[in-house]
Formats: sequence, C-alpha cells, structure tokens
Amino acid sequence: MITVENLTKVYGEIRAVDGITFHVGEGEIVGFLGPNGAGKTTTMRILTCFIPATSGTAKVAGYDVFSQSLQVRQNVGYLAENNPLYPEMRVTEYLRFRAKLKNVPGGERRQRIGEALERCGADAFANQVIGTLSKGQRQRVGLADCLLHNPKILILDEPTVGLDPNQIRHVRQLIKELSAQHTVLLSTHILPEVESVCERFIIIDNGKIAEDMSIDQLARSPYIDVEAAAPQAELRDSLAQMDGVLKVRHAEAASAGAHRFTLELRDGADLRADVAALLAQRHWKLLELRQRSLTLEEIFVSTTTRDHNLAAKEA
Amino acid sequence: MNTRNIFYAVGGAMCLLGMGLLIVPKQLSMNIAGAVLLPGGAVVGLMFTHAPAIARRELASYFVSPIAYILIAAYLAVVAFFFNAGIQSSGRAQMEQTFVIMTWMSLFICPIITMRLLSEEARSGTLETMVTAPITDFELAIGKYAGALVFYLALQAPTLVFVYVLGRQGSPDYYTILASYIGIILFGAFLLSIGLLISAFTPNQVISAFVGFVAMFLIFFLGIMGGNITGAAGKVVGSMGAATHYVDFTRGVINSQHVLYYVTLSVFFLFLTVRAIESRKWR
Repeated sequence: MITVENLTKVYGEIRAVDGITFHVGEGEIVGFLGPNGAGKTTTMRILTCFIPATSGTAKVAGYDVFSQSLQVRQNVGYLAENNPLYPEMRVTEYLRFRAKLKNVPGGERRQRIGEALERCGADAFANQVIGTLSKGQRQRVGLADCLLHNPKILILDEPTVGLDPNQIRHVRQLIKELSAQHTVLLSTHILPEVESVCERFIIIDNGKIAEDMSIDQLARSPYIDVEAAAPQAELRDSLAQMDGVLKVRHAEAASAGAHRFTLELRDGADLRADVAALLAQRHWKLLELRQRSLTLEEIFVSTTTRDHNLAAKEA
Repeated sequence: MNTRNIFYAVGGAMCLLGMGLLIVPKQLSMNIAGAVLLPGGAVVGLMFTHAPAIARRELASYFVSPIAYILIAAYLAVVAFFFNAGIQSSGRAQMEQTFVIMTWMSLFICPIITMRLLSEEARSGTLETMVTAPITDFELAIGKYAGALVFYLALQAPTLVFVYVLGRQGSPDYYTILASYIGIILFGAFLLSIGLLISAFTPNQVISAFVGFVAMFLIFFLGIMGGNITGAAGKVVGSMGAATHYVDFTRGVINSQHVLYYVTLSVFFLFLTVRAIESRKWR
C-alpha cells in the first residue's frame, strides 16, 4: 500500500529525511516513531503530496506521489499535524465542504457525512461551530474528515497530541476500529500507544530509519543485559563479535565505573554462558547478566540517543 | 454613447471567452485523470464542484465576521455622500463623481478583501488540508478569486439604489452608467487578482494587505508617472497604468482595448497565483 524507496528531503543544508526505505502492506497498522524533528511529519507530508521529495520515490496505493498526485490524494485520508480546521464553520458545513473537495458524489454526501460522524462519535456536536469545540471533539472532526471519501489509507500525524487521558483512549479505540477497513500509518511520541494500537513500528531518527520491527517480534526476541566493569569500546566490540549477537546497544549502567549493554540475539540463541566465559577470559568483572525481552521504550531511547552520541562524536 | 464601441467590446469579449475556453479542457483533463477512479457519473463537473465549493466557503467566511458589514456600510456611506455632492454641485442626474470615489474606495477596500485569501490558509495550516485534498492548484486559485469577486460584487450591488433614485428624479444616461459599472467591475476584478497573488506569498494578513495596497496604488498611478517620462518610454509606461484605462468607461465608452487590458492582466495575475501556490513544491 505504501512503498517508500530512498526517500530524501533536503531543506537548505538540513537533511530532514535522509534516504529512508520502508513498506507498509495492505491492512497493516504501523506506528511511526521518533524524537521531535526526526522527519516524521516531513515524510508524511511527502506521502500526502503536500511537499515533494528531493530524491527517491514513494508510491501510495500503487500511485506515484509526484506524477499521480491526484490519485494518491483521492486514496488517502490525512490528519495533518495539529489538525487545522476552519474555526468559523459548523461541523456539518465543514464536512460538506470537504466532501465536495474529495469528489464524494452529490447524492451520497449526506449519507457519508452521517456515517463518518457516527463512526468518529462526532454526531452529538455536528451542528456546533468548530471554534467552540474541545480539542478532543476537534480531533474527531478531523478524523471524520479523513473518512469521508472512504480512502484505502489513513495517514495520521500525531492523532492524540494534546488530548486528555480519556480522549486518548477514545481516539486509540477509534483508530483500532478503523484499522479493520483501512491501512493506517500514524505518528506519535506516546510509546504505549504504539504497543496498544499498532502491529508494527518504525523508528526514525535524524532522517534515517533506526528500527523497523513488529510488536510480536518485540515480545519474542531474546535479549541479554550485561553489566561489567570494563573499558566501554573494547567491551562493546568483543560482545559484537560473538556468534549469534545481532546488535549491541549501550544502556544506562547501574553502578559507577561500569558499562551496561543490551545484546539482541538471533532467534533461539542463549549466550549467557558464553558471555560469562568471555568476560572471565578477559578478566573483566561481571556485575549483572540476565535474559529478558526488550520494552519499546528501551529500543526508542537506545536507537535515538545512540545516534545523537554518534553525531556528536563525528562533529 | 458610442454604440460602435459596444460592438467592439462584444467582439473583444468573445475573443477572450474563446481563449479562456481553450484553457478549460486542459484543466479538466487533469481532473478526468483523477476522476477515472471514482464511481461512474462523477467525471462531469468536477471542476464545477471544487472551485464553487471553495468560493462559497470563502464568501461565507467574509460574512461570519463583522468585517464584511463594516466594509459595506463604510463604503456605502462614503459613496452616498459623494453621490449627493456630485448631483448638488452639477445639478444634473449623473454619477461621474460617484464612480470616481468608487474607484478610489476600491483601491482601499480590495486589499482588505484579498488580504486573508491565501495568507490565512497558510497561517492556520488549513492550506495543508486544502491541497492534500484531490483538487488542483488552479481550482484553489480560481475558487478563492471567485469568492473575493462575488464579495466585491455584493459590495457594489447596493449602489444600484443610487441609479434607481436618479431614474425616479431625473433622466440619467443609462448607457454611461452601465459602462461605468462594467468599468468598476473590471477594475475591481483586476485589483483583486493582484491582491490574491500577494496573499499567496505571505502568511501574514497585515503584510498581505499593505503590500497589496502599495502594489495596487502603484499600478493605478503608472499612467501619471508615464506622463513625466518623455518619448516612447513614457507612452509605454503610461499605457500600463490602470487609471489610464479606466477613464473611458466613466464617459460611457466601452473600448475593447481597455477591456482587454483588465481581463488579460487579471488572467495573468491568476496564472501567477497558481504558480505561487505550486511554488511550495520547489521551495
């Protein structure tokens, strides 16, 4: 449904999006994560044809975002960042206007607007002026607008930002329901949201994809925490060279003078004994060693801060 | 009243209409490409859905704020004063001075009409939802323009009362008045196209209004500036001024040359507006 290849967007000297490649299949619901300024909104704006990419290609619903922009837009429901609306219009007026722009045939407009309002739980305030609505209510209007033309794909830029906990729950529930009929790509800062709503997540940092993983994989994958009193670089390198280790992430050490790493292992591997042996051989003091699965927060923090450290070193 | 000039105007208008009609299929073809995906029957009239929808929304947004009523009231008060003064001083049933003040007022009012058109959309972020809907930039520009133009017509419409009053009390030259109205509408349409273009460049309404006002003012007086330049250059500059082309209308003469001036320049500024909206793609 969404195929992105080597997408790059350069603003002046800043590479907001730097050669990202990913794929979202039909019916998937994918969370797009990353710190502020990582390139989430830029990527979404490219996918919805608001701005063009500097290089690379993106196809949405089988259409190229640059050369077949109208078809792409006809197939995408887009909730823009901060959900801009016209404050002076009434909800139904606004949706009627949007339905016309989205080519909903005249005879179906009333019905489609009614359906969208109902699905988003916005029918209670359908005749209110948008300027008088609460933030949660506005969010529902924005989502109803996304559904008007029954798009195959929903692209939602921070759909729960600024909502109170109850509203967040409602909106999450709504997005879950929508994912039954639409392919969804949503961006957020709220990590539990991804775990509760999405099937897969993509972490983007400094314009690059730092992680692309399914939630199942997250729960399944075995990890080992190692804390030892040893030189950081040497410890990391020797751990990385072990057979069966896919990735080594630096983590916050519990005691001073020690370093802590989390090892991502190949499926089915258990290297605890090997790690202990390696440390003993090098005469490094082993402080902790245990196997467990990672939380999303750990992945987020380690992938996004690691890259910042690297960038700082390079600079 | 020179009737021959009416025929010139009709001829000129038909030529322009023909040229305009050539553009429509090109724009429509872009829509048809998008419409193939839609369930049958929706192909026809897409262009006739998007632009009017945008124009209607725009027009409604003028009238939900008090600014529309204040503008119309102020405009009518000033025009009524000069209408009265014009008749009193000349002692004839005519509207020459009235139309002079209508022109002047248009110079001040058109930037206020156009200041928010695209600026407000850019500032509030609704431009993003607007252009990520399956519409063309041309439809957005023409819809915004039409909204502003209809508001301008709504502003002028109450002045027809003055014509009625003249008709009741005397025997005015209706041809002259008709020509003057055609002139003021063309003149307004021209100013609005300049204002629309400028609103596409800034998200700030104050800047939009002020720059729009300066631009309209300068192009209005280009004719007088031309008078200070000797030789062919003066003639060229002089003929580019908006005021130069306005005078004949107030004398009851509809000259196709002047109609052509306003219409082509309006179309030109609209074209530039479409390009300015598109410029987000290469900035």
